[in-house]
Amino acid sequence: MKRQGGLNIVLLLVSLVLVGVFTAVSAAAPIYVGGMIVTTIIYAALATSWNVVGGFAGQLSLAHAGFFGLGAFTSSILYVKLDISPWIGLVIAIIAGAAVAFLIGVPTFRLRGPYYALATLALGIILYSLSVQLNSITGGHAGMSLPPTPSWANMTFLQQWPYALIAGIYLLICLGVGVWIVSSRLGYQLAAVREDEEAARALGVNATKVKLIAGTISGALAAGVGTIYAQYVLFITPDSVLGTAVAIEIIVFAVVGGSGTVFGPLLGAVLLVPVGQVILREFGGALPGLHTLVYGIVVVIVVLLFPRGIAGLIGAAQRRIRGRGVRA
Amino acid sequence: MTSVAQVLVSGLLIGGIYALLALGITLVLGVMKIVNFAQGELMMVGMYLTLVLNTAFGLHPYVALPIVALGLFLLGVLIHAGLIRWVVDRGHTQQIVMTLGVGIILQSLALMLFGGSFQTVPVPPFLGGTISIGPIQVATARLAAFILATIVTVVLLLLLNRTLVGRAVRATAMDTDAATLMGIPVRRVYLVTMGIGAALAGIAGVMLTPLYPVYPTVGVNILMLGFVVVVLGGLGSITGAFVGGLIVGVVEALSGLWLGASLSQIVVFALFLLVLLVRPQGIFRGDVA
Amino acid sequence: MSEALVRTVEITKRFGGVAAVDSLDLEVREHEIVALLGPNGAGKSTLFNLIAGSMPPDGGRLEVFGRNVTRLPAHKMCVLGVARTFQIVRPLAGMTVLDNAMVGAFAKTASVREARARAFDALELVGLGAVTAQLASGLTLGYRKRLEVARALASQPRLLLLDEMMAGLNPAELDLFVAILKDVRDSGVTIIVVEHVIHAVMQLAERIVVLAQGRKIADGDPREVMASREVIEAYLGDGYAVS
Repeated sequence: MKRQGGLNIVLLLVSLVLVGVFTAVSAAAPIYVGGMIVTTIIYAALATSWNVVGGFAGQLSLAHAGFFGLGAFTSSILYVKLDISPWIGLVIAIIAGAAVAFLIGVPTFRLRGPYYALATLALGIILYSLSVQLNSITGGHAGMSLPPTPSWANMTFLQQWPYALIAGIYLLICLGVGVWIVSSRLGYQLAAVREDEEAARALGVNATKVKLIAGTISGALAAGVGTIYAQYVLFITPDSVLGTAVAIEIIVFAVVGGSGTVFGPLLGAVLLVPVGQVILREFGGALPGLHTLVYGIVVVIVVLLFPRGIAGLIGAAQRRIRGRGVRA
Repeated sequence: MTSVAQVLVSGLLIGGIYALLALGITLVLGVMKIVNFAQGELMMVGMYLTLVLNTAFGLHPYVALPIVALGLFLLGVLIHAGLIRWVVDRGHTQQIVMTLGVGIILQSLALMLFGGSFQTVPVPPFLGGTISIGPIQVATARLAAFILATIVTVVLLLLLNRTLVGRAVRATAMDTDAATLMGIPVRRVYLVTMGIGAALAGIAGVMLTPLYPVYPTVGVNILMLGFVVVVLGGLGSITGAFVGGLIVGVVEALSGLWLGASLSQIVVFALFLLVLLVRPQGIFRGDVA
Repeated sequence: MSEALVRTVEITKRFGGVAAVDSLDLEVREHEIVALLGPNGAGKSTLFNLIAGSMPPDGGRLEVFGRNVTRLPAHKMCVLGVARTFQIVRPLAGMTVLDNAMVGAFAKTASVREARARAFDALELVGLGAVTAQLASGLTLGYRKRLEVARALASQPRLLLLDEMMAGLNPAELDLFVAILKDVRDSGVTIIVVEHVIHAVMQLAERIVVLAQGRKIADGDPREVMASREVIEAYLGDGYAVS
C-alpha cells in the first residue's frame, strides 16, 4: 500500500485535470455529449461512495440507492417546500445520509456476508415503500418536480458544464476521501476485516466500529450525489432514485472497475456509463434493456475471469513486471 | 366486506406460492451455501414461458406446468454449469455479484423480448374462479397454488429423506468435504440442486400467473418475500420454507387489511429484519430436511 | 520473583452438556515459556481461546496483567497486549506481507509511519525481511506461519499465544522457529504454546501443563511431567508426532 499511496496521489491529480478538461468539453460539445459526461461523473461519484463500504470494507450494500434517493428527496423537499437553497440542502442531505447509514449499520454490521446484503436490500425496499407511502411530502409514485429557475444560488443551470463542474468537484472529494482512507490506519483495518474478519479481530481491529465508520462515510457521500442528481434532472420519483436497479448498477460499475481500489469504480463508470447511454440512445426504442443486458454480461465475465476488476488486472500486471508474485 | 377469516385464508393460500419460491432458495442455500439473488428472475422466466405456451399453443398454465418445470430445470443446470460452479469456492462477494449479474441478464432479455408492459395470461378463471367453503370465498387459483405447494413440499421431503439421491444431497449439505470423501459426486449434486431450485421457481411462476401480471421486473419484490420466508423458516429447512411461506402470506394479508397495501410491505420487511437480528436461525433448523 | 502475568481462576467453558474446560486454575509468570499439552479433546484449544478472549467463559475468572478481563472481546485483548496465532493459519491473502504485519502494528499505534517501522522489525525478527512486498497468498506454509507470528509480534504483545505452530514444519523449519521464539522471549514477551510436536516443546518450554478432559493433570518441569504416570496414561492410545 505504500507505493499505492504515491500512485493514488498521482491519479487524484490526473482526475483533477480531467475534471477540468471534461467541464470544458461539456461547455463546447453538443448537449448529449455534455449530458453523457455529467451522467458519467454522477454515477462515478455514486459508485465511488459505495465502494467505501462495499469495496474497502467488503460489505456488499444493496441499500445505496436508498442513500442516493434519501439525499435527492431531502434536498428537493427542503428546496420545494421550504425554499432552502440546494447548497444547504446538499449539506443537510449528507448529514441525513450519515445519520441513516449509521442507524442502519448498527444492527446490520453484525450480520455476515449475504445476510448483510439481504438486510440492506430489505432496507432499500423499505425506504422505497416509505417514499411512496409519504406521498403528501414526496409526491408518491408521481414524484417531485423542481423549479427550473437557473442560477448559481439555486444550483440550477441551463448549460451542462456547471453541472459537470459541480459533480466533478464532488467526485474529486469522494476520491480524496477514498485516498485518505486507504493510506490510513482505517484503511488497513478495513482491508483486514474484508479479508478475514476473525483474524482482524485477533489483531486488535474493532471490526464493528470500523465497518460502522466506513458505512457512515459511504452513506453520507452517496446522499450528496443524490442532491446533485436531483438538481440536474429536476424531476425525481421513487422509481428513478430509489429503485433496486440503481443499487445494482453501481455495484456493477464498482466491480467491473475494481472494487478494492479507490479509482476502480470511476474506471468502471467511465467504461460502462457512456456505453450504456449510447446503446440506450441507438437501440433503446427497438430493444429496451439492451444496455442493462450488456452490464449484466460484462459483470458476469468480470467475476468469472478477473474478479478484481480492471484495476486488479492492472495491479497484477504491475506485480508481474516487478516479479513479486501474482495473486492466486 | 372482507372478514378477518377471509383475509386469513387468502393469505394462507398465497403463502403456498411464497413457499414454492422459498423452497428453491432454501434448497440451493442449504446444499451449496449460495444465496441465489436471481431466483426471482427465474420465476419471472417461468411466468413468461407459461405466457408463451399459452399464446402459442393454447396451453393452460396448469397443463404447461411440467413443461415449464422441465424448462427451468434445464435453465438452472445451464446457469450452474456455465457460471455458478466457478464461484462456488470463492467468497460470498463474488457469488452475490454473479447471481445479481445473472438476474440482470434474465431481466434484460425479458425486457428486450417482451417489452416492459404488464401482461396477463388470458385463461378463464379456474373452476369458475371462486368456490365457497362455508362463509369463506376461496379463490381457486390460490387454492390450487396452496395444494401444489403442499404436494411439492411433501415430495421434496420424501425425496430427501427416503431416497439414496436425497441422502446424497443432504450429506453434501452437511459437509461437502466428508461427502466427497464418501464418494458422493458433489459437483453433480450441485448441478441437480441448482436445476431443482430453478424448477421450483418456475413452478411458483406458473401458479402465480392466474393471480398476477407478468412483467420483466416481477421477480424483484417477490424475491425479497422469498428471502423473508427462508430466513423465517430456517436457512436450508424445507419444512421451514413451507411453514414460513404460510406465515408470511398470513402476515402480509393481515397487515394489508389493517394497514393498507404499501405499509404491509414495510411490515413484512421489518419482520424480516427483526428475524435476521434476533433469531437468525429461523424457526426450523436447516440441513435440508 | 515475578508475579503471575496470566491467571485463570476456576475457569469453565461448557459446550452442550460437556465441560470442555472444567474449573481450571492456571498461572503463567512473566517471561516464562509454558506449553499446554494434552490428548485430543483435552480442552487445550478451548483454554487457549478463553485466554485469547475469542470466547467468554461460562464460569470462573481470567486475569491478565493484573486486570480482570473475563469477558473482554478478542480485539480489546490484543490492544491490551495479548496476541494470538491461529491453528490453521489465516493470512490476509490479498494484502502484502508488510501490510499484514502493519495491521498487527496498528493495534498499538495510530501512526502509519510507526506501524510500518514496527511491522518491518517484526518481519525481520522472523526472517521475512526479504519478502515484505509479496502478497501473502503467494507464501508457502512455513512462511505463512512465520507471517502469523510476525503479525502478532508487530502488535508488541506482552503475552503471545501460539496455537500448534509447529505442525507441518520440517526439522529445519522447526529449529528455526524454536530459535525465533527464544529470541522473542528474550525480548520480554511471555509465551504460551499449545503443541503436539513434543520434540519442539522439550526444547522450548520451561514448564509444561498437561490437560485431560478439561482438567489439569500435571504442571511443572518438562522432564518430570513427561515422565509422570498420569501423563503417559492420558496419552496412551493416542498417536502423536514425536519427532
